Amino acid sequence: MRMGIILSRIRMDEKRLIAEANLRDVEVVPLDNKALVFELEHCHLDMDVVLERCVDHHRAVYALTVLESWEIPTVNSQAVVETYGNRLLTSLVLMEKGVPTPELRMAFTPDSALEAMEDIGYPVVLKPVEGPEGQLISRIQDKYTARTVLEHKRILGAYHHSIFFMQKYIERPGYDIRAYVVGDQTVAAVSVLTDHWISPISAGGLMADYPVSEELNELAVLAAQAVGGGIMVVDMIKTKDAWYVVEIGPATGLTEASELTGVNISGHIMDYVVKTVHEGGK
Amino acid sequence: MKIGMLLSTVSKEQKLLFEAAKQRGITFERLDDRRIIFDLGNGMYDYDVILERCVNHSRSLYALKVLNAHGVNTVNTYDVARICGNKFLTTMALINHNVPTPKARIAFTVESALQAIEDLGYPVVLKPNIGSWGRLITKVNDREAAEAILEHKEILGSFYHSIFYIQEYVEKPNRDIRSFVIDGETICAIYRYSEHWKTNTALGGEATNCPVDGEIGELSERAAEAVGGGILAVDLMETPDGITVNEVNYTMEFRNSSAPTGVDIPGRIVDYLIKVAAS
Repeated sequence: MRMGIILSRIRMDEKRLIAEANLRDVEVVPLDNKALVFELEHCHLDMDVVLERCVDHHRAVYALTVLESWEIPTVNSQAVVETYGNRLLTSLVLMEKGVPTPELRMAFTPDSALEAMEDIGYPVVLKPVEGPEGQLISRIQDKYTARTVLEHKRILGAYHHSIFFMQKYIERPGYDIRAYVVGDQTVAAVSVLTDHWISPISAGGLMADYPVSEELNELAVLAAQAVGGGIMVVDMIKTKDAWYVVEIGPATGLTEASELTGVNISGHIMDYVVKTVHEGGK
Repeated sequence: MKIGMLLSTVSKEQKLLFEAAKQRGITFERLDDRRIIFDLGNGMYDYDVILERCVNHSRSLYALKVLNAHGVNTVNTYDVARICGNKFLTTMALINHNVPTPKARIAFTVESALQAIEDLGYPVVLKPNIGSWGRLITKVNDREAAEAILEHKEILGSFYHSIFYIQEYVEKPNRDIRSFVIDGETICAIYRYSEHWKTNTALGGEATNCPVDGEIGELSERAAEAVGGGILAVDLMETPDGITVNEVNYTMEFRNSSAPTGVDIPGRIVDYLIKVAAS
């Protein structure tokens, strides 16, 4: 089997994945997205499957669109990556499938966004429709802050920063939960502790192993399947009364999470890739 | 029958549509995209159909997504807006439906884009993947121009401008063709003349009637079908090798096209909305 791995650079996570592929007699062909040129009118890659590991979300979506039109199986699929990379698309499918997720409003101008915030009540969370985890997510405590942040987005941002998303802020204990879902199973979970109200690992959050209860597994898998299924991280919060799914993203941080949990997440991923090819590939 | 129009400002096109609706005894309910707030969990949109006429592509796209997710009929649909608003997705849709379109390449860095340009050969056309009215569409004649423009896009643009879409330059007469397709039928077309290689009427191109019997009508219908159908304007070019489809537009202007063609474009749009609302 010949597997392309489309990537920006070979990080620790990709080294692990390539090692696991080699253990399964899968030939790995790294496809550096910086060097790729897609000639749209004809297929010029010979692969049984392509695993997507780009850092840049848009490169991933464009590359997957071409690969799918050439009928090369991909993990994840184009539709899944397009959905979880965009907060509107993710929220809509979560709501449609009955996955608990915080209330959300959308507006297109600072005035209408402010009205929506006043309606939800402070503190309110303002999020860009796209962007890597944590970036530009703001907790707004009052109308004055709301006005100035909205103005900054409108004046300084590219046009998609004028699609405003407002979410009800949910009080929670000092950690979020990241569940690693592979196919129909949550293979591992970690808690991310932080002294700040958002907890991306990049902001210095500390991770610890978190037990995968039946409840956690069911909710994480339901969320993953809502966006179309595959390999992903489901970010969740647990309050005194309830679980919420906040975001879904690509399966990053494999190395750290595997060391903390003792689970070979990369091995699970390669098993899934091999299975995908045998079930649906050429 | 409750028919809505999602709009930003009341332009000439909007006024023509209001007038056409009035003649048919219908009033558009206006949804101003500057005021509307979408509650994603609650669909409170009891419209039979909503016509999308926003100026801003991202507003169109996101509003249509929410409306369609709540089961509201829209013209056009989110899927059509998503494809037509993105030149790469349009090209892929045309190729997948065997509609002739100029060769195109996608690359993600200045170096790989430069290589793609040199492989295609000068001149090439660089286009922002997302954008309208011909803005930033650039004919690149040589390597130095390519290096300068790619660097400006990479440094100054948002990340969308670093997905490089490169199209072969197609020799054509000093005109191109814009056809109007509604509900699978090419209702009329215009020739747009310009001494400039870009012929958008928004850039001052002049318009005359273009007959739609034969190849032009048939290709336009196939292009419209490839992107998902609805109300569309198809841009075609006459090349030495035949007619080719350049782009498909989903929220088109038509103020300069009814007079030369003699076709009541706003009337045909409203008739189509009534048909969708009744379905």
